[in-house]
Amino acid sequence: MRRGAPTLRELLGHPRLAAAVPLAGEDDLDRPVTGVTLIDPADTSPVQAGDIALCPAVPPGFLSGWRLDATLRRLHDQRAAALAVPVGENGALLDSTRQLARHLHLPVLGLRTAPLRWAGEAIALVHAPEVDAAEVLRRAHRALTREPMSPQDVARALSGILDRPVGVFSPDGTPTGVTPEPSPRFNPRATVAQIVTEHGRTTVAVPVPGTTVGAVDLWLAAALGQAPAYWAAAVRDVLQAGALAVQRWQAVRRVVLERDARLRAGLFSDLLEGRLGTGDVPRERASEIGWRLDGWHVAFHIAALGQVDLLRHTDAVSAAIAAEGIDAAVVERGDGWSGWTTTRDEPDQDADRELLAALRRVRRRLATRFDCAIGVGRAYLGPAGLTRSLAEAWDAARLARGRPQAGRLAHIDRLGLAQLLVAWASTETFAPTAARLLKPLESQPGDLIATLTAYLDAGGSVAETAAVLGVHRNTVTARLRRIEELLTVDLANPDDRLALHLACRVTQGRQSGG
Amino acid sequence: MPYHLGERDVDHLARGVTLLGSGGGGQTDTAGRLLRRTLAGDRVALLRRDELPGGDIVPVGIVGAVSAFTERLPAGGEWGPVVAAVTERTGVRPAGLMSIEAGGVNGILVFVAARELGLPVIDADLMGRALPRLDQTSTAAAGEPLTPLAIGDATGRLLILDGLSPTAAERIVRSALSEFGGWAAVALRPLPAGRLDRVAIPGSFARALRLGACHAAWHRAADPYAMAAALGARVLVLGRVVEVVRHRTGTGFGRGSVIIRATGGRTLVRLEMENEYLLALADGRPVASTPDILCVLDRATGVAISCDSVRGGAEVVVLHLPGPAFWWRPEAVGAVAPRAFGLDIDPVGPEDRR
Repeated sequence: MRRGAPTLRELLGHPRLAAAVPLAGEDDLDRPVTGVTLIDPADTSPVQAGDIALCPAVPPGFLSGWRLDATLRRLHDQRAAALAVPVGENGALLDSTRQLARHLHLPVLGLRTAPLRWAGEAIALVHAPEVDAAEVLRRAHRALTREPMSPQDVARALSGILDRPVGVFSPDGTPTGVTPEPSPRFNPRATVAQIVTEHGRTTVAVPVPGTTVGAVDLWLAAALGQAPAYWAAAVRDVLQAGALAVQRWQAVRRVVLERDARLRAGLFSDLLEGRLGTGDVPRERASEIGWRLDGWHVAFHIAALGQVDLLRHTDAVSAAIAAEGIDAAVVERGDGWSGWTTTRDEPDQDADRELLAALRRVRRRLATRFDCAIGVGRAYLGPAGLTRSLAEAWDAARLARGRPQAGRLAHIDRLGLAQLLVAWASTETFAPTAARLLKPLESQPGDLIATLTAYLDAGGSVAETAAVLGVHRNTVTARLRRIEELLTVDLANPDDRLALHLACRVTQGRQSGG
Repeated sequence: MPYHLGERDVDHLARGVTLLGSGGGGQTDTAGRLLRRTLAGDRVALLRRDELPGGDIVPVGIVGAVSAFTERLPAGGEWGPVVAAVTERTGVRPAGLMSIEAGGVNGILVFVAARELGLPVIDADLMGRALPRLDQTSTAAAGEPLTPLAIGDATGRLLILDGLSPTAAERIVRSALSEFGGWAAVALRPLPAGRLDRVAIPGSFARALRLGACHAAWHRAADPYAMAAALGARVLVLGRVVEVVRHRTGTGFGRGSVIIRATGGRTLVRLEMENEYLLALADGRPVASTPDILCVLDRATGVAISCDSVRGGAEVVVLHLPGPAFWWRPEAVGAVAPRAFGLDIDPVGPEDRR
């Protein structure tokens, strides 16, 4: 396979040739390079057209002397690609020599390394780029096959091998951590490896496939700067090796998670059935995985709404809970995750309120992944108390599902008996009656059912209803008057209020998939 | 009827020898004033070689730093002792004087010496232009000795060398100069008039006067190309000095480079200098070199700009004048070619020019 010759600019973009910097003629780097010819500044032997003419050694004062000008002219006449000369720390050309190089369209490269080594690298990269490609792939293979590495570790290792920034993008293409910015032309929806060149700067992105077909878990991306096409292809291969390593890490991690989950699930069912209170073996196992059974427990349950692969999100849920300062054990349970906090003393009202506020923020954090309802139980003492609190949290979560107006967050205390009644009342017999009761409001403008629900939930406060619905209090008053007229009820009558409240709750619950 | 050089010729002479100086040879205006004063209305005979009756001609001039010469002018009587020293030692009677160097101040001072000694000047010299060293004389190039050689001044200090090669003589003279205050009058071994064709460069002063007369016509609106054609020169570049580099290290004195960018173009002409302008490269390609003569002239006034006074920003025209034919002889060219100045390049001969 014969590729097009790389341009000088692309060659200089390769890390192994980075010791050469253009001293003059920066505008003329986009020319193909066919090889390297060693020259002596004093002799006039021919240089092959398209080659970089490289002086391995130059006499003192060469960079400011006339000889350099004469050499530039000669190389120009022989259509060389560039002149490369070794330079010290302050290798500066005369202004006029730079002008001459520009005028003759002959770039001058200053080598800040051993010239012959650079020449060797350049010749290898021009004539046999596959050798370099194989070498980086070999190094990547060695680095990646030692032990499972997290995506960030893989990116760091590849970055060291490629000498270019390598980063991890989330499935939608946003970078995580300090990584190269994704190119605007990078398309995260096309789940294939992409080599994107923008303004002469090349970015390579390779997807890490997810467990389901066509899904992408992560992207590995490398920002190469100016790079020859064959190098971009080599980097793509290296990143694909990296993607394999990430998949391996994910598989290992999943196995660990599954094992943990099974262990926790077993313990958890013991806990729910109250079997943990007795016997030492289960208690030992519980403390092994960091569960505290003594002290005061407040349990909560996070129920995921819709189809959600729980195991995939367990890490994120734990992280969100930890990020909000809740010190809790978390375990998968049924439709979501249950967790509990443990304190030595009985928690007070303030602690309760803080926990609720923190859980509300947890829900917001998780909103990008899935929607959820959260229920919170009361505080109880000891393993038996934990069992009870977990049961309450479960009930509260079920109720919270049907209460979007309360942010799908419910504390068993705030629900009260009447609402538990509602839960129990959502039966096939009561539901049609409720629907019939509220039917006159359905076809009316102004979202009267929601207004009524919010009004009753707010304990009859017009101001709070207005705040919840985001409308003016006069609007609320006007709507309430219309509701009383349409239903021929009196909202001041406690019986009417109870009946309507139950009806609202049951229909609301059914509508929002309770 | 031999030609006599009088006061009104001094201007042309000064202009001409300045052009032959190729950017070196010293400032001729001071020397010109000195000559006018020395002539004091009188004239000095300038004889062509065929007008010579015969006899021996003594090459004279000064050696040393031309800047020191401007600071300490001749007091009068410098050349009497040195001419006497070489004629006594060789046992000849001088029939006339000739200049060791037609380019620069030496092209003028020979007339001062001739006036002082009451001798005619022969239209010949040993360089045909300005050159920095005594061993770069036609006599030395022809393989003839320069000694006996005398340097001295008006206070009676005198150094006579004999039996030394030109290179050795140059080295000794150079090292002795500080004892003479930077410069000294010099007289070389007298040359028989009949051999001047072989060991000297005849006609240099006729050339200088001709160049000077043409150059005197330079005025602000003059077309540089027409002026160059009249001078028998070609224009290498018309433009602005963009960079002047003076190399403080290395061999030689006054080493440096002048880079001129052509007006309305991108061509860059680089001049390499060491007291004189020695080599011209246009866009890196050698286009002219010593022994040919390179002149940098102020574009508006035509005044020659010497190597030590050229500055960035000046609007100039660079002229290329053919060098003395003597130096293009194969046996002679090596002494004054670029390599004699440490520039590792073949001289750019007439056949190399486009």
